[in-house]
Amino acid sequence: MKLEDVRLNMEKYRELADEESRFLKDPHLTLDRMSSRYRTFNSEDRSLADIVIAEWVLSNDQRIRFDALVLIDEFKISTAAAALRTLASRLSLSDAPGAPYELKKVFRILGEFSGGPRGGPA
Amino acid sequence: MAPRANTATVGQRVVPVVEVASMLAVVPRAATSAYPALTNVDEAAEAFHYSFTSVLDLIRRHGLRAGSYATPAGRLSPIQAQIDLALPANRGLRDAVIRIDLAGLRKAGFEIPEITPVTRNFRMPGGGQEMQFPYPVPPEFLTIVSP
Repeated sequence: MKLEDVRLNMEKYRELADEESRFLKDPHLTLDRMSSRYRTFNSEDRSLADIVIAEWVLSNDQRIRFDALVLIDEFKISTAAAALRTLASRLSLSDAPGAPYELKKVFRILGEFSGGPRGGPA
Repeated sequence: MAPRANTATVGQRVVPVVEVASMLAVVPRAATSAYPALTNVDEAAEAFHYSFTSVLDLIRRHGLRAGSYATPAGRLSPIQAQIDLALPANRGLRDAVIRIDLAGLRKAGFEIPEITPVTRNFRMPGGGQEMQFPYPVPPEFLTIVSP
């Protein structure tokens, strides 16, 4: 598949899973579906999926960012590190109530990639 | 033998949860004195999210996904949660309870969603109370109550 195909595939899959999870009053079902979908990708498609997930990290939609962070954390997608650092910069300037907590999560994930301390910079 | 997750034992019979409500002629809680009135969200210090143990690790690391539901009632059995909160019966009973620190969220600047009555759905009578978070709830405001 090409990158655009993988992007459309993942966006559509996420949309359908989200619809199902809303219907069943179980928001975490979307993540279960997305994880299962990711596991079905071969190594070539997985590297393209990683690019899409890194794009999701920079989405303005916090739901999409949340899902991206879960997938990056679960599958240790270290190629998303640059996107995570960009997100961290944005969050550090945000006055949204959830920003400090999301920032802490981003630092934790980055820290685990580097094997360094968890919870953000000193 | 223990009943399967989406069944309940009634007498000596193991029956699907969807049948339990009608067998017991369950009365929606709102029509009884168990929930005398909607909880005033401004006074509520905590709420409870009913979920599955299979996602507890994820919730510990990432918090609750936006769109998650909670209820002021923290002592519902899995089957009572299914009935009162009108949860779908074909996915098993929700066997994990997570406390949400509403007071802490409020103090941190989050807007606490309104509490509304649960209406009938999935052949469950509803009658409980629920709130739906439009934002992710960070793990810092969550405590696993059970298991």
